[in-house]
Amino acid sequence: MSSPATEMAPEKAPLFPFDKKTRRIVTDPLSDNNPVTVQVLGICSALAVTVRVDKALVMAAAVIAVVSLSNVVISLLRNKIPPSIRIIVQLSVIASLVIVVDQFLKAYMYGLSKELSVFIGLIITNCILMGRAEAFAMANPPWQSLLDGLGNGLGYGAVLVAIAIGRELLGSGSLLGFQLVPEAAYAAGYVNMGLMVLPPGAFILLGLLIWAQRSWTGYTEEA
Amino acid sequence: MAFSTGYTLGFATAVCVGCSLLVGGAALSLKEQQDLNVERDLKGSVLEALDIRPESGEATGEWIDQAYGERVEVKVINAAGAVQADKTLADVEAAQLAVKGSTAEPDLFAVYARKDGGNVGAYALPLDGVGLWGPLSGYLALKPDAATVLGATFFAPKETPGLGAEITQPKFKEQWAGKKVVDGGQPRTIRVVKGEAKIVCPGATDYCVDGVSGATITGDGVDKMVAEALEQYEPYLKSLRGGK
Repeated sequence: MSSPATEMAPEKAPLFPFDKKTRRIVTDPLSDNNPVTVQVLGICSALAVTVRVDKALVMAAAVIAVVSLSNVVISLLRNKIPPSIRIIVQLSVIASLVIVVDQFLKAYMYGLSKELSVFIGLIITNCILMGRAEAFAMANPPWQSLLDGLGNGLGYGAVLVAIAIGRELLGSGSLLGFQLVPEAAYAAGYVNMGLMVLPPGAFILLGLLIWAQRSWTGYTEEA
Repeated sequence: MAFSTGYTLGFATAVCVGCSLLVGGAALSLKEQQDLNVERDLKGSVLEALDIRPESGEATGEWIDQAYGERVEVKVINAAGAVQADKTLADVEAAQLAVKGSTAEPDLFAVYARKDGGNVGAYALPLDGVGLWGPLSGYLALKPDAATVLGATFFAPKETPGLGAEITQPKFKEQWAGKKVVDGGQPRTIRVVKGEAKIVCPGATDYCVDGVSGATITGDGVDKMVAEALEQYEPYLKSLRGGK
């Protein structure tokens, strides 16, 4: 998980600050405060669409797009939204954006959209989106909210792709549909790990990933 | 900051209108491309059932349009199995629409014939049924003897991914090739069974395919829609077998 922070440095513009503190907004959710491995949100889709890497990539891109845009929209409206209806407003914005993304996929990536079926629609119920809208975008300006959305989307996507790599490699012997395990290995008795194609495989890999990531960052739940 | 009730109502209305415009605009402007995709998906499925495949690589949209235009001929038949040369696919759709919601059967049916030079190399019958959550459809292609299955494809748009929707995967579809729909001169349907066909259907593996575990109702839906299609098309199939 590399940080994209190094390539952009202009710090003169006060409207779009990119100092150390602002960069943390993007880099934090990539590892130290990852929405999946630390906050354990968005698990449902992380398990459902990680059988193959291409599906995980499209799902990740869809979530990055929706969470960034919804954060910006909510942030722009944050002083106008009456607190009594703020949750439903957030949900309306998120739901509309998800439908637009779904329509785009149906028009331009029909095959993958068919395979992802309900899971694009279910981005609406992904806790990461509501969580970021409520916890961050309601209290921060649009630029920071955009970065927060990007960071969390990327953090979610990174976990998705990591699990998908493990599952496709072990479960189907391929990556992005490209066969990696040679025919000779199958002839010699190698068998794909069927468990990895099934949901329990995703649970096991996700558990291992959370363990590895938490021991790396030293994160522990407070009792 | 306190907000008045009027403001809250107004804000809610504005959000609703804004979101509707966004969603409606996206749906409308992309509809043309989406309809094209759906049409190509159906055509591609007919081609796959009829075993018409691109020489290399994946089936692209252009290839599907071209191959479908060159190789597939739609024949319209009536309930008695006679070919209606003056009718088109639009007439079949109208006939199906006319009996929608009732138990009556349409009086026109479509058959997708594969043209191999001057001969017909295969016939694909459209399938139409109900799964667990929504409609199922597909195509069952028969060889020119009208007794042996060449291939089958399925659509299960509402079925559970990983369970019912597995019927759209090669593992399920590939089982159909080589199955029989005639037994000793009599029509016989192909059953979708629980468990392995060779254990569950001893001596009748030509008439059984393995269902998907955890997808019993979807499997029953496939079973039923294949049986129905074979029954509806039997007069025509019989004429193909030469038993007029």
